[in-house]
Amino acid sequence: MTYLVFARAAVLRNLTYRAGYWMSLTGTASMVAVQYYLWSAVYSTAGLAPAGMTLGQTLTYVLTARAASTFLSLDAGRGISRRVRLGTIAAELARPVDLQLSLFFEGLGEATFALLAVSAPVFAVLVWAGAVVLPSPGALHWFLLSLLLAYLVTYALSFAVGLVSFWTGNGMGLADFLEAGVFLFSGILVPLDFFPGPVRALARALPFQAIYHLPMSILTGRAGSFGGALAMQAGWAVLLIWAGRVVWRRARPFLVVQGG
Amino acid sequence: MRQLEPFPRGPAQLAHYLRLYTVYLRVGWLSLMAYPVDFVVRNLGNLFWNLASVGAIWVIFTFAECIGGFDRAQVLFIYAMSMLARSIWHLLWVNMMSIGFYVQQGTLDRLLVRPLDPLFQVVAGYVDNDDWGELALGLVVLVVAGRTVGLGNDPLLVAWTGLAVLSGSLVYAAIHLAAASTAFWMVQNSAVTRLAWDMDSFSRYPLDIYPVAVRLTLTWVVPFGFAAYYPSQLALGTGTYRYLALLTPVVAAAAFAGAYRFWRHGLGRYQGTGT
Repeated sequence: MTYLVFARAAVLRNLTYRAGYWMSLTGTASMVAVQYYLWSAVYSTAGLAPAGMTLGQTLTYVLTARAASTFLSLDAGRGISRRVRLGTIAAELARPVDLQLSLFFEGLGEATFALLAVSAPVFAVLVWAGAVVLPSPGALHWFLLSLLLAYLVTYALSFAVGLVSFWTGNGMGLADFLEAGVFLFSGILVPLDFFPGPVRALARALPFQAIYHLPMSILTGRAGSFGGALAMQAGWAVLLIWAGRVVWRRARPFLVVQGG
Repeated sequence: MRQLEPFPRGPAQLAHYLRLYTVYLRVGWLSLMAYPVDFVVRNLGNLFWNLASVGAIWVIFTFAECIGGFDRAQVLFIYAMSMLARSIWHLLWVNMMSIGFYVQQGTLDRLLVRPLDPLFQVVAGYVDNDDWGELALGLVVLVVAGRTVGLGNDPLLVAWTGLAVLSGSLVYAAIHLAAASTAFWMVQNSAVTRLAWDMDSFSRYPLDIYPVAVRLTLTWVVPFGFAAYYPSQLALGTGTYRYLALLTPVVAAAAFAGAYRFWRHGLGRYQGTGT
C-alpha cells in the first residue's frame, strides 16, 4: 500500500512535535475532569437514575466519549479548506494520488497517534480510578470495532463538508457548523437517552449518533443488540464515504485556486 | 538594552490610542468581510455550538434539581456570565494567545520598532471571526435567567452584573496574557497557552462541584472563579461567598496588572530570533 506512507508521515510528525502532544493530553484531561465533577454533582441527589442510567453508566459513557474525542477529530475537512484557501490544493491535485485516499491515510496516522498516545492512556487511568466500568471482554471487542466504525463516519463527514470550500473558497464556517452538529446530536455532551422524546428521535435519524452514542451504548451495555448498532454505523459509514466520492467528482470543476 | 516605551499616560496619548484603535478595528472588520458567507456560516455554527452547551444544562435540569446547590436559573445565569465575559475577551483580545508565534518567528521585532505599545499592537491587530454567536447567546441567556431570578427589579444589581462581566473579561485577559508571556522563557509554549484555554471550561459551572484543591486553585492561582462564579453570587443573592464577590473588580485589575508586568518583564529580556 503506497498510501501507508501518508499515515507514517503523520505519526512521525506527531512524534517530533512534542509540545503538541502535551497540549492535547492536558486538553483531554481537563475536559474529562470537568465532566467527571459535573456529572457527579448532578447525581448527588439520592436515587437519581434518568432514563434508567446509573451514575456509573453515565460516567462510563460521558468520560469515555471525551477521551475518544481526541482521536475522533474532524480535522480532515479543515485540512481541505486550508489547502484550498492557501492554494496548495493545486499542487496536491497534480500529484498522481487520489486526494480522498491520501487524506484518509494522513488522518489515519493522526488518529492512530491520538488513540495510542492520548485516548488510551486517559481511558486506562479512568478505568484504574474506577470512574469507567469495563464490560465483559466480549462486549469490549465489539466496542473497539464500533470505535473503528465511528472513526470512518467522522472522517467521511468531515471530508464531504471540507469539499464545500471548493465552492465557497473557505470552508471553515461549515466545518464549525459540522462540529456544532456533532456536539449537539452525537452524545458527547449529554447521553442521547436523556434527551426529550422528539429531540431523541431526531438524533437517532442523524449520522452523528454513530460517532459517540452507538459505541458508548455498546460499552455501557445499553445497545440492545450489538449487531444492530454496528450495522447502523457501517451503513452510515458506507453512505457518507460514497457521498464524499460524489461531491468530490462534482466539486473539482468549481475549484478556484487562490494566490500563493 | 533598549528602553521600553511606557504605556500611554495622560489624556492626549489615550485619545491617540483610542483613535488608532478604531482604525485597527475597522481594518479587522474589513478582513473578516473578505469571506462574508464564511463569516456568517461560521458564527451560526458558533451560535449552535453554544446553544448546544446551554441545551445540555437544560436537559440535565429535566431530571436534576440542582447542580452544586444552584437551581436551573442560577446555573444558567453563571453560565451566561462566563459566556459573555469570555466572548468579549475572545472577540477583542484573543490575539494575545499568539505572542508565542510572534516570538518564535521573530515578527515581534516588527512590532517593537513601531512607536506604539507592543501589546496594544498584538491585541488590536486582530478581530476574532468566530465567537459572535457566544456573545449574542450569552446576552440573551443572561437577560432571561436574570429575569427569572428577579434581578431586573434592582438597577444596582444590574449595574453590578455589567461591571462583573467586564471584570470577568479582564480575568480571562490576565490569565491568557500570563500564559502567553511564558514564550519569552520557553521556545515552545503552546502547551501552556492550551492549558489556560482548556481550563476556562472550569469557570462555567458553580465551583461547589469541585474538590477543595481545585477550588482553591481556581480562586487564588488561576482565578477563573472570578470570571463568573464569585461575582454572580452577589447578583443572585445566594451562595456562601458573597463577600468575595465584591473583590471581583479588584482581583481582575490586580491580576491583569500582574500579568502585564510579567509580559513587560519577558519583553525586556527578549533578544529576537535573528531571522
